[in-house]
Amino acid sequence: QAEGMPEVGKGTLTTHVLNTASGLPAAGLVVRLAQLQEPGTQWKELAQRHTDADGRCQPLLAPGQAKAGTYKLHFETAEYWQGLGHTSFYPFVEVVFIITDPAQKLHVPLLISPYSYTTYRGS
Amino acid sequence: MAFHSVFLVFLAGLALCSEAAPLNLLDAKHPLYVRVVDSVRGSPASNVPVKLYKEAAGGAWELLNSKQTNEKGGLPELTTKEQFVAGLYKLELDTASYWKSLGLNPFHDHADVVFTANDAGNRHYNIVVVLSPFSYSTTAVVSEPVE
Repeated sequence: QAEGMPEVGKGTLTTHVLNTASGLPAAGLVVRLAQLQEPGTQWKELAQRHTDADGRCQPLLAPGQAKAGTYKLHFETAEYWQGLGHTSFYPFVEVVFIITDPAQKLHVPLLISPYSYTTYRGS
Repeated sequence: MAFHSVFLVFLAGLALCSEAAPLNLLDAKHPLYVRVVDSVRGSPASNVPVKLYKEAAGGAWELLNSKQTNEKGGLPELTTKEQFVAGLYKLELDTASYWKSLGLNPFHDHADVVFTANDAGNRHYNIVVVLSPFSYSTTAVVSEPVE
């Protein structure tokens, strides 16, 4: 799945954002990771990145940093579309997921078009 | 004469097909129509709890309604034309409960869809969400401003 990428250690979290309208990676898109501070409803921001020309960024969690819990990836998609001169339906996209095994390498890509998005757990 | 009969039959057939269509895009009766589909079973995703929030002054989310998708995976009446004023909205779908009720442990805690509505007049919004235990996709079909 991560063709061309150097070997990353266990327990990291990566993403990949693709613009399905253009068939190109979404570059320069801001991504933020937060963790739910259970048992409450507060989120703690852990990392901020922006995607490179390949639509990827440095891992959002360092090896060993991941713990079991609920996490949120926030993608600044409207800002990205505006930069291309497009309007889009969503001001941002948030993906809320559960880490059950902190040792597992997690890849959470996002496919975007102005009126749609898809996200999945990849490898 | 024959041509007119054929044409009328064709129109009637079209009307019948659109009534029976599993996905009525641009539903004209409801300003916000949510449809949820289970892509593993190729079926509607029924009884998915969905909450509709509107951003209130100060940035907090105000809960407007809380309902479950029907047996066709549809939620036609989450809001009304009167309630659905211009603003920022959030749909929160409790997809984890759906998968757990089928004995599966899903990746996502829930699926959020955040969007601005009606900032250029009243439109009709069809939000489709396609689910699987490790993935979801959402698409919006938005009409031109109506009346």
